[in-house]
Amino acid sequence: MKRLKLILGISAIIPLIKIVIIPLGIISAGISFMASDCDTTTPTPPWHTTPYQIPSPSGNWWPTPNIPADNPMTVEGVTLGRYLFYDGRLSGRLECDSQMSCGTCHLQKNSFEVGMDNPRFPGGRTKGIPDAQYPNGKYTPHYMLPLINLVFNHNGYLWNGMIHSSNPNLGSAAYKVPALPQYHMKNIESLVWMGIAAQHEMNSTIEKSVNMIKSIKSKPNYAELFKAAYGDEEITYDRISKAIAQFVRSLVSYNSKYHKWVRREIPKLEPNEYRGYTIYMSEKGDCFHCHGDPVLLTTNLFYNNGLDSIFNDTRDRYAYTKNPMDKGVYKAPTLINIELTAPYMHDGRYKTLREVVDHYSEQLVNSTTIDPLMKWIAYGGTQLKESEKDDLIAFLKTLTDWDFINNPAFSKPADLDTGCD
Amino acid sequence: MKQILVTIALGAFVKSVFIPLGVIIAGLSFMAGDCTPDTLIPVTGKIAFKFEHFVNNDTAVFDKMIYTNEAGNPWELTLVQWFISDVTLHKKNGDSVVLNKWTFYHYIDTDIPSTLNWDVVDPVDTGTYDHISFIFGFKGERNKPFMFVNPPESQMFWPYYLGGDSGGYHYMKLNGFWKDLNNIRRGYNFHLGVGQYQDVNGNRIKVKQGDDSTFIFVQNWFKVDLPSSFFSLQKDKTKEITIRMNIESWFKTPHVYDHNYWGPDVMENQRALKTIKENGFDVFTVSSIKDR
Repeated sequence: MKRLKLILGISAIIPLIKIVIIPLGIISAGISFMASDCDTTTPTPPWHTTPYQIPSPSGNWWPTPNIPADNPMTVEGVTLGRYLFYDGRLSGRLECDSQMSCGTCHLQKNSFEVGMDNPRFPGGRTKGIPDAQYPNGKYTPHYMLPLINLVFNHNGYLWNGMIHSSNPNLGSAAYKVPALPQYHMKNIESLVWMGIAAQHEMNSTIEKSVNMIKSIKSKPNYAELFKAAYGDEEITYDRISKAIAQFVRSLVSYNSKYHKWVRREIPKLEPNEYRGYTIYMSEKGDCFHCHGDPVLLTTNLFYNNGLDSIFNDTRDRYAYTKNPMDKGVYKAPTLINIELTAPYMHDGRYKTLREVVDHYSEQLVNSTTIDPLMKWIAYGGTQLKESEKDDLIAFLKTLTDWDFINNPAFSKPADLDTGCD
Repeated sequence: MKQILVTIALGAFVKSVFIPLGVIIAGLSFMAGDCTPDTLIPVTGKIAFKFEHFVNNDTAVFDKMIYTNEAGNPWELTLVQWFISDVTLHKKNGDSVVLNKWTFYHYIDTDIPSTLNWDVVDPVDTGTYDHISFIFGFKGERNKPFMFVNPPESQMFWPYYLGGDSGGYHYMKLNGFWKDLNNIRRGYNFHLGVGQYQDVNGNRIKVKQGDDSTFIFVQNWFKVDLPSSFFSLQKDKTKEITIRMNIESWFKTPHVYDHNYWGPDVMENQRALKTIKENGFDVFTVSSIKDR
């Protein structure tokens, strides 16, 4: 009887199922179908990649990472980029005396700047691979900018900021690079084709460099690395530039003594360091207006900081903006790891931190485009006492991030063999 | 018998499914019904602000030393960057509405044209408003270090050493040049933000807090009541209100501001900051109110 009741009860519900449940099912299936139809518009990688997390120990203190939508960071992409960054054959050459990689000039021990003690470029003056026109190599127009925390920069790359999302230009006749979409001037990826093709850097061609990477079969096995990063073994310039850019974006430095102090992981600075901090962060030294973001130690903006009164540099900010007030104007670089990154300024004129501090203290040069932040120009600068300069330099040295400098994740891969080490 | 069982089964189904459903639907209807009477639906319009920077009743000219201030200093203007916050619309009966639901501030930068327009997201009740006020900069409780991590706002950073926990950002940077008594063109940084308590000699005063001594700070934000800012807002309309900063007024009233006296920088000079603050009360006017 009980069983009969159950059957009858179910029978009675059947019309309801027909009227309510089935239409609901159809609607639900339709929605699912539409949803799956939408999914097909977003290609799902047929391979597995692991998203790369930008480290930021102080959480929401750091800017939003500047990562192009078409180049999300993955562990596999960063790994590939690291090999390419350090591979001298990217220059399109096998001869050891002419191989050049990004890492040839950008040394980790110098916070990815060239440094005064670079064995290939003593004094920090870099130049391109020699050719018939420049048998000793063509000097780079500017000295180097820091290659760290670029992922947090939203205000343009290079000393004049010309590499910016708003720049519509493509390619370069001077570099013999055609005006194609992949040769844009918008972000870190753009710096790769420039580095390869510029006569004052790798002095190669895109084709030659890509073919050289294609020809490498082991140590590393690029086919495997490209497959891990991109799903197949195809090696293209676009993929090379994106992988290198991913590695460069991973170069995040946040663990200096100063940063730890700001995060209250260490209780205090030494007395001289603290005195230097108060000079830096007050009108006395007034470093903070240009180098003031409390975690990045730069605004990433552009200033005439009183170096010259006559402007004949064809690569200053004016060269890009065409605004006459931008003559002699350059980006303010981060001061993180500043003690390791001599020589200083766009033209490398200062070899020590003391010389830099002396510049801002007594040697400012007035001009029509001097930034109003250089407000003690009438006195040549901020007129710091010698003891105050000592304290300021002591503080600047607290900005050195030894964890970053010694981080094996950023070093040359041990199994990378270019045949030249 | 079959009919009885069917009835029982149906009854059970109705009880377990339709009655709860009915209760839910009734509840939803009740809630919806609660909003339906016309008298309780908010009737709203929108507010949009435009910002303009004038000197002596004309659009400010940048990078040219063509002005002379009340103190006789020839001066030029390079940039103006400032924050407006807690904009409040006041009614004659004393009621007011603060435009802070979506965001409580707006950043204005003469180098970034897009910042000269602010379409307020908050819907605003229709009606007649007697006047507008705003906070120049930020109230102390809002001005927290690290509240901005992205440019351009983050570039208004005011050092913790100078502003403490309630002084994270400049209220304003007004930069330019003046010609000093020796006819030398010198930069000035007319910056306003949190000041520091100082003794008569200008030395900062510390107070004991537990085992530590800490500096004490002075809030320099101020409320601006905009004159002639009466307007009526109609349903689904946008009222566009243009706020003008009359830059020469920073140097004029009630205190004549002499760059040669105050010097190029003021962030550690509370007397100067107080002077700037007091000069700011009448710097702003409304130059137009119109329907968009």
